[in-house]
Amino acid sequence: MRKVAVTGLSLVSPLGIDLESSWKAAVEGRSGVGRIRNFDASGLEVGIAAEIPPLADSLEQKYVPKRWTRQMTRITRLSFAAGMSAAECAGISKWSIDPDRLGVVFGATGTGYRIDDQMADLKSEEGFRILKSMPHAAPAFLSIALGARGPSFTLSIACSSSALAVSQGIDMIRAGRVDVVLAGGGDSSINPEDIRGFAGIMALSTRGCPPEEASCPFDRRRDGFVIGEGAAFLVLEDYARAKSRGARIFAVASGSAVTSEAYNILSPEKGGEGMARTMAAALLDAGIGPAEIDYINAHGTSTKLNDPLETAAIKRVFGPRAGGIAVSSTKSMTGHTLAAAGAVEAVLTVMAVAEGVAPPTINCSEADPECDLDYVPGKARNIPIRSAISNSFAFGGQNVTLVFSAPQPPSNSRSK
Amino acid sequence: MSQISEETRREVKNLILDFFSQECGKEKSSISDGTDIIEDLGGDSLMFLSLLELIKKKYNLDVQLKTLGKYLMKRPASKVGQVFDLTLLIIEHGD
Repeated sequence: MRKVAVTGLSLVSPLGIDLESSWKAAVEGRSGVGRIRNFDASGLEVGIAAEIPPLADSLEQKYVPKRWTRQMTRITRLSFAAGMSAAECAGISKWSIDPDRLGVVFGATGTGYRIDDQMADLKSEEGFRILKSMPHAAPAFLSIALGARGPSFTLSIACSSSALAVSQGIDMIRAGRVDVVLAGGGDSSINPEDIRGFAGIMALSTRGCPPEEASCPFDRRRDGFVIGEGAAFLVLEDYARAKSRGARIFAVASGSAVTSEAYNILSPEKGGEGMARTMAAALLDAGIGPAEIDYINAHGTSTKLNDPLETAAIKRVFGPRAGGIAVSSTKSMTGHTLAAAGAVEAVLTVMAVAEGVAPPTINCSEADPECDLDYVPGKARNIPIRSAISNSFAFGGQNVTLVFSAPQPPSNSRSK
Repeated sequence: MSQISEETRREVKNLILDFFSQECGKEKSSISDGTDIIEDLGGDSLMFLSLLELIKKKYNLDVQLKTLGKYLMKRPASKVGQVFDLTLLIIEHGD
């Protein structure tokens, strides 16, 4: 089976419009949550969100041709820009690749083409309504821009969508179907309809604290997630190919698992059994023992249900060692970027492995007896990371765990 | 039917070149009658519709989509020069 390298990354998040700024903010423990700026949210029960900084417009202008701008929704534009940025990071435009061996796999729940956008577009005769609503718009535009003639498609399993895209990309390279896959996802669901929808199922935080404190995974005060938006991509590449061209290898994509809980449309399985099964299967797929995992990027939504169950699941898989593993939820800073979350957190996990830094869980200061692991509270920590996992758990019980490892054993000179 | 003056022809040509140049991010000087909209400019088959919106406003034309479809069936417009010819035809004959 072929080994898979991560040779390119991009991240457009509430913490910054690119990988560097987002990663820096994550390590510094800054919150991307604030009062909603993009529309008047005064009539809504929830008026906070983790929005991408306005500077993202410049990113779109850099990468999206003018003609395509009008054919894309905001999600597609952000995702396209993120995809092109990852390709640039990996140097895809600088070295020759057989176009038939390059694929694009995207995770999304749609393009965010909303009713009021449709009504506005009905006044135009440009006829872009269909293009804007195609769920596979982002991979289609990326494949055209990059000349990628391998498979390009969209996968959708709610909050695990883009983690599934990464998992699929790993499998496609392992199976020898392609040599390089641009895998990622995007979501921008900060709008009145979706906020009402998530508020209606009591998924959002409404506790009325300062916005930057509302997302508090594993903390006793948590009462729901903060909706966020983002787009992120990983360039996955056949390891031997990456080595031979001298590419920077951020990490090895060691393995993954995709499972279904077959339990409940909203609630995770009791005792975190489904979550544990997913993590264990991913370790098995990666050929890595639980003792080799030094960091876990948790799904950690800041909801009453997820966090204690994920904690229990980690204990099931890692046993007595669970308490010694750095576990953090970067959603404490990015909010929950929904379909983009899997890719956003995969990128942060790869960066954690590459830099030897576990980003913190911010706002985690009041202990919950059911959440008693080391959540790296408040402050990032330098640790040598041999391997790390990133969890994504969706409504419906569709779970994905990704495993990333350091290309070489990390130096033990850093103290834990 | 309206007779098209040389000045209008120049104006339309300029408008078309500006449109493709801006929409596709290409130098105006690199676009000629023989330039293929999809192959050379990375454009798409709907660009003519967008262009026609501009033309309709500028020359106060009333052309229905189905009429345009008939024009395009008779005279495919995949190259910039063909688009120019078809645009003049539409300005001249309208709906």
